[in-house]
This record gives sequence, structure tokens and C-alpha cells, in this order.
Amino acid sequence: MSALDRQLRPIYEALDSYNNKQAVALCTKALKKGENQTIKALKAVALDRLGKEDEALEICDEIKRTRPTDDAVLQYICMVYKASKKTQDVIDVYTAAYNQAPRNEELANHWFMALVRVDDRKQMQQAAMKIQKQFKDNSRYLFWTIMTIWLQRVRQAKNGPEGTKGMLATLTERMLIKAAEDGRIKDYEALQLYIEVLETHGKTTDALAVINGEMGNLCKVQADRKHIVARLCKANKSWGPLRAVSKELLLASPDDWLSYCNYIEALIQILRETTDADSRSNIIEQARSLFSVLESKASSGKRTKRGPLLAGLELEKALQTNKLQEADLPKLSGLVMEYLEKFGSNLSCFDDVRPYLSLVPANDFDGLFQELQKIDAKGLTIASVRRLVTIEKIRRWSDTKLTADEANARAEHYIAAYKATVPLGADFDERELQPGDDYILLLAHTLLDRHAQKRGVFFAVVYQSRGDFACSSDTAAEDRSMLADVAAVLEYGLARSKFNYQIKLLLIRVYVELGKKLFLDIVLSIDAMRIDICAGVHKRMFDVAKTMDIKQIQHDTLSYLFTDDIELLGCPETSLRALVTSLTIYGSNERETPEMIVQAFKFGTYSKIPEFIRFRDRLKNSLQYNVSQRQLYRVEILRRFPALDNLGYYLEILDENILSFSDDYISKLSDNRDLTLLANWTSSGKPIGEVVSGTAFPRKRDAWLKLHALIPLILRGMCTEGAPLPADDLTDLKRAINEAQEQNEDSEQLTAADILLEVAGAVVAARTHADTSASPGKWDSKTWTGILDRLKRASFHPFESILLRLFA
Amino acid sequence: MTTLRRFVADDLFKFNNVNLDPLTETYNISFYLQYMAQWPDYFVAAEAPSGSCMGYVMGKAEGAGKLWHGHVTAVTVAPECRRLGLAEELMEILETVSEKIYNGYFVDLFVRVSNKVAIGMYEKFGYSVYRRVLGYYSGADSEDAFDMRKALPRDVRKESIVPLPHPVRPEDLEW
Repeated sequence: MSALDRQLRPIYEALDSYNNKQAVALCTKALKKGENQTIKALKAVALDRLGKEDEALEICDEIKRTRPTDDAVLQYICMVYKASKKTQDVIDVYTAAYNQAPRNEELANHWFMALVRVDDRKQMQQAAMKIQKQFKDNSRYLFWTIMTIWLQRVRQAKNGPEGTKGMLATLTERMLIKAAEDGRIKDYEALQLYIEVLETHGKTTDALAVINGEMGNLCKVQADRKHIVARLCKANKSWGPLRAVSKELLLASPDDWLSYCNYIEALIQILRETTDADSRSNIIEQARSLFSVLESKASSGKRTKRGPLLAGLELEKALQTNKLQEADLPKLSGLVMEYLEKFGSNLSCFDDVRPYLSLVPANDFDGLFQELQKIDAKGLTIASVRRLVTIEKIRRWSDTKLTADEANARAEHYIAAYKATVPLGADFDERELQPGDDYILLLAHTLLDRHAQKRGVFFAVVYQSRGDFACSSDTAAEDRSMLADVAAVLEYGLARSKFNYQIKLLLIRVYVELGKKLFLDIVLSIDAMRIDICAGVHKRMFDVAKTMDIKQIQHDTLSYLFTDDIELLGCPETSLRALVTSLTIYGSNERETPEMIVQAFKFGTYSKIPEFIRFRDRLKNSLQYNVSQRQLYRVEILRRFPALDNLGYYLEILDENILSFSDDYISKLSDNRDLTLLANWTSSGKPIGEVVSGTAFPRKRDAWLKLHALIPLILRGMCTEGAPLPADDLTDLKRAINEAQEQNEDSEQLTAADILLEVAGAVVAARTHADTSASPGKWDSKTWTGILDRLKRASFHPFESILLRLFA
Repeated sequence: MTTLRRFVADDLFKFNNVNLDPLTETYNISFYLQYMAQWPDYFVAAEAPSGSCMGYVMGKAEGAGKLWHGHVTAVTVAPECRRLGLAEELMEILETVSEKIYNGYFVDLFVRVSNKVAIGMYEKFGYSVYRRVLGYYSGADSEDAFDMRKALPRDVRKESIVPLPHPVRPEDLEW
């Protein structure tokens, strides 16, 4: 062991066991004996871990000036730079290192990857070209170069100048053609890149020649290769070949839905081009007989596949909607019935047939609905319950508006039916869905419909009595009690099916709505005793949300289900925690995704590079990110009040980047919220979340995002003495309020913003006068009385009460 | 009526109906993206006609010499899509990838010894218990695992699946 190793070993051990203080001490001691860059760099790592960022960076900068080329030293100082997000320093040290040792392949890789992390595509290209020249034999660097040019083309695809775009495209294509000629396309990923580039340039015939040629053998799974052929045929509008390849794929795999869709699309196009009636019916017959061959093939396996039968429906639907055949309703109806007969007891059956239900004459279901009336509790099996539930869903889909009596009768029927199913699931593992769970949801949906119908009446009363809110308390109580009924039903079902996320999600929405109403009561002082109940509702809502174990990427896609309107519930501490947690995913994206883009380069998985970049950007520009961050600011502002110093300090540190509110910024946000999740079986397709809240759900956020960027910015201006309050912001706020009004945003929220506008206007006027030491002028007691009067009238919103106290 | 295709990063935005199931874990971004970056063919999504996710399988290739094999990291199916034979289709894809693309000797997977349903299912798919791994699952629900294997055509004499007579410890696992 060398003397250096003897010094290093204890340092590594200390660092490995996170004994950072000891590591620093060991480094300091070793450095006294003599200068050593590795030890110095390790000291920086240990200091950084101890939170002594400045000292750590100072050491790194010192090392950086010596232009190190030692791999370990570079890695250690870059760890520190990365932790402090000093990406440019990382690039600088590796650029310098590479320039000194251009034959060091390892360094070259680090240099390139440092550029990948910051996504500087032009520099990536220049680096890749240099490295490629240096290490000519390694095809990987050639593809890095091609990829970096292609990425520049992808970035400019939307709005770049045509000339540059064309130049980059041609360059990529030429380089790939050359690579193909030189035999340098040697794996499936490189082949896919080649095909994708040709395809994007509309050269589908060339792409087909490549995949059908010898190079196509790089795709080792036959079905994958044929799927590429099908994709290209479709892009090329080669309907005959598309039909042929789809048929081959189906014969090999009779459940392949994409191939059915391709086959049917090709068929429709071929029929359109065929004028002779006999040939047309011939072509249609060929399709039908193919599907029936596939059906017998599919039912001979271990499990009958649903594909062929459903594809038969898809075919008839396509023929009808394209008017290529007389409408044959009995045929369609028969196919739907056959499907229900065979697959009715599959949980997904309703979703399978949903696209075809509107083609079936309404009366044709009557026979099925008859079955629902006579439930024989003894004869029930799990399969028969599932089948009944499928039919129930079809009945709900076919329902026109039910009268109050009909709805009541239906509700009772669901309860009885559910109870009859309970014994069947008694022995299930608790993580499994209970067979009758969907009855609970059907019941809840029916009750929510009724609640929604009544709400129209409540609203009318509330609206007329703006000045005298209290008179609506009776109707408000009824409103609440109906929602509480729904919650009770869902809780009842949840007690037996602890992991049913459908029940949980709906329950959460119902509790949020209930919580909002209860909180409104408290603010209105109708019933201050409700505070306890209100707190109970919040607690239960958050408890249910917690059992869902929402994490990672789900924070972006699902948080809205329990954080939308959370700031209006009057439970700042819990809201704050929920919002802060949901925001963690955006930090993870910044940390993790760039590393994965690096990995994709490393493994030569070219198809994944643009894919990962798109993924990173979707999270980075997430709408939900912007919503949650604004909600968080809102809650914090309310929470810190009335300690004005504290509030003022908080307002100072708002992140202005995320508080952008230009149309351009907002229109580019990516809406990643998963809106498909909550079940809904009506033909109108109105999301159940909207039925619960009576407003768009999730909320439309365009105008909201502007409002809630401007409000904190203006509050900041007001709270900071002597700070200029930009008149532009006020104009923008005025505009945002108008916009929100047009979009029917909640009027209470807009009143708050409107009053803020007035107050801020008064503050601007006062400050202007103070500056010019003129007399108060317009800033007189009348203005104040007017504002105060409005505030009092509108005191049902927390923002108002804040402003009221702020300026009383 | 299933479209089987490569799992793509954007699928992470829409796999909730699968991952909200209590038996399916949601991992961090790097976990999924690392698999996609390193073994893009081994991560396959099953898509319904409506475009919703029905389930997915993720796997990898690892080992050396005669232990070069495909490994099933996760296979999961949405509750509403169970009992349709989807898990088997997904497993078949993984086997095809292991055989055609990676040319492995066998496919293996780990399963909790208490998970009788899953063990029975894998047996039906042609897997057999190769050995027991003591304390493979750590944490609150600490448990032994079965290492189950299925030989691929390259293992002509089916040597890879001859059961080990004695259990092993996690640190004895070759990979």
C-alpha cells in the first residue's frame, strides 16, 4: 500500500459512514503534511455535506484554477458543484481537462455528459464531433454527433427558422445514409433512429426499403418488425400492403388491437377507392371471414380472447359511420349482445362495449334490464354479480333524467343489490375488490345527480340574497346533508373494500366539497359551533388521501384530486404539508431525469433520448406545479398574517419565475393531470368530479394562474414600504379579473381580487402623493369608507378578512 | 384486444389505474427511466382500445456464462383487466425478448413464499421453484423468496432449472 493510499483509506471510510466531521479532520491533518489535490477535493466533499457550502466551493474553485485532469479529483469537485447547481463550473472543468488530455476517452465522456446535463445542444454537437474525430473507430461517437444534430432539429421543429430546420434535417439524414453505407448501423436502436429520421422527412418509401431490407434483420422480433412496416405503410397511405401486414400480424396474434384498427382503416380506404359494388361486398366478406377465423383461433387457446369479437363490432361501426354499407342495426345489436353474453362478467366489459352502445336501438336492452329486477341472493355467484353490474352500468348509460321517485327507487335497488353481494366477498383478501363495489359507486352517483339538481335551487336562493346571506341557511343545510349522505354511502362501501381507489377518490372529492361549505358557514358566522365538524371533515379527508399512498410522479398527476381548493378549507397546516409534499416531484425531476438522459446516451438508446427530454419538459412545465406553488403561496400568506414583518419577509422571497403570468407562459404549460381515472357511466360523459362540485373540475386554471400570480406580487408591493407598486401589475390584474369573469370563475374569489385592486390603487395613489408631498387629494376618507364598506359586505372570504384587518 | 408496445416515459403520466392497486409499488423516476434506457425492449405496456393502461412488464438481462438470463422485475395488471390472460401474454413477451434479443439461458423471478396465488400462476406459465432465498424481503414484512425459473431453448439440457437441494442467503445470489 502506498503512502497516499494509507492516507486516503481512513478518509474514504469516514465518508462512507457519513462521518463527515472526522473526514474533514483527517483531510486537514493530511494536507498539513503536504499538498494533495485528491485529499483537498475530498475535503470539499465532506465540507459540502456538513452544510459548509461556501468553504467547499472555495476549495473547488482553487482546484479548478489548476486545471486538473485527474479523474477522481474532477469527479469530487463536480459532486460539490452539482450539489450547488453550478453546472457551468462542471462544464468548465471538464472542457479544460479535455483540452489538456484529448486522448483520454474517459474525460471526453465526462465532458460530453456534462453538456448533456445542461442540455446545451449546440455545444453537445461540437463536443461530439471533436470526440468522434479523436476516436474514429467507435461508432457510438458518430451516433452522438448525429443525435445532437437531430435534437437541435427537434427543438426547432415547432418554431425555428425553416432554413435552419431544413439544414439540420438534411444533415442528420445524410449522416445516417452514410453510416448505413459504411455498415455502421449495427444495432436496433441505430436502425430505429434511421427510420424515424426518414419518416419525419416524409421519406416513408425509403424507410420501408430499409426495414424490409437486410438491415431490418437488426430487429430480432418478427412482430416488432412487422409493426414498423405497418406504421410506415399507414404513413405512406399504402393501404393494400397495410391490410396484408396487419392480417399477418393478426394471424400470429389474434388479440392485437392495433393491428385490427390498422386492418379496418386500410379496408375502409380500399373500399372508398373501389367503385364496383360486387367487389366491395367481396372485400367486406373477406374481412368478416378473416375475423371469424381469428375468433375460432382465439377461442381455442387457454382463454378466449376478446379481440376478434370486439373487432367485428369495430368493423361494422366503421362501415356504417363511413356510409359504406346500409345501417344494419339488428346485426350490431346482435354483436353487442353476443359480446355481453360471452364477456359480461369481465370487469372491463362496460368499457369495452361503450363505444358501440349508441348504435344499439334503446329498446333492445329492455330484456337485459328485466334481469336486474329479480335478484336471487342465493343463486348469486361472483360471475353473475359482475354480469349484473355490467348491465347496471348499461342501464345507467341509457337513463334519461330520472324523476325524484325513480331515483329513490333506483337508490334502494342498489342498496339491496349491494347487500346481497356482501357474503360473496367475505373471504376475499382485503386487497381485492369486493364483487359488489360498483353498486356503491352507482348509488353514490345517483345521489350526486340528485344533489346537483337541487343545487340549482340553492344557488338561486344564495344569489338573490347576496346582501343577506344568512337566509339561505336552511337550503345550505339541506345541501350539506345530501353530501353527507353520499359520504356515508362511500364510507360504508370502503369499510368492506379498504383498497378501492374509486371509492376513495370520490369520497375525497365529496369531503372537499363538504369542507368548503362548512368553512363558509364558519366565516359567515352562521354556526361557529361547526368548527369541530369542519376539522373532522378535513381530518378524515386527509386520512383517506393518505391511505392512497400517492407518491413520486403521482404527485403531479393525481394531487389535484385532493389539493384542488385545499386553500379554501381553512386548515392551513395540513394544506401546507400536502402542498409541500406534492411539490417534491419537481425537484426529483430536476435531479434525476438529466442523469437518465445521460444513461440513454451511454447505452446508445437513441429512441429514448428525445422521449426522456420530452418527459423532463412536461414535468418542468407542469400546470399542476404552477397551481400547487401558487396555492402554497396563498396558504403561507394567510398563515403568516397578521405578523406583517413575517409576511413581508415571505413575500420578498417569492420565486418570480414561477409567478410568470403572460399568456405565452401559461399556454405553454403542460396539463399532466390524470382526468381519466374517476369512473363515470353516463352517456353524457360528464365527469363525476364536476357533478360533485357543480363547477368545472378540475378547475380551468388559465385565468386563475394569472390572478394568483398577480395577487402575491401586488401584496408584496403593498407590504414593502417605499417599494414601487408597478401600475402595470394593477392593469394586468384588472385584465385577469375580467378574463376570469368571462370564464365564470367563482365570484367570491373574484370579489377578493377586485377589492385588492381597489386597495392597491389607493395605496399607489397615496404613495405618489407622499412622494410629491402634495396634499392627500383623492386619498381621502371617502375612499377608505367605500373600501371598508365593500370589505364588510364581502367578508365571507378569508382574503377579505385579511385585507380588512390589514387596512382597518 | 390489447395493444402491446414498448413502455414509454410518458406512460408514467397515465399508469395510475394500474399503480393505485395496493400490490403495485410506485418507484422514483430513475427506477423506470433506468430500465428504459438500459433495456428498452424489456419494458412493455399493454394498452386498451381506449388508450388506457391495462398493465405492464419490466425486466432486464443479467448474468454471465451459463447464468446469462432474463429477469422479471415487475409484472402487473390493472384490477379491472385481471382474469383475461394478460399477465401470461406479458410474460411471454419477456421470454421472447430474453430468447431472441438477449439470447439467454433462462428467465427468473422472485416471489414471496406466502404469495400462493402468484406462485400457482407462474407454475402455470411453466416456471418452477429453483431455490429458496432466506430473508430476501427485508423490512417490516420480512420474508423468504422463491427464485423461480423457466428454461429457454438455449439451455438445451434444462440444466438451469434443476432445483437446488438447500436454501441460499441473499448474499449468495450471483446477481
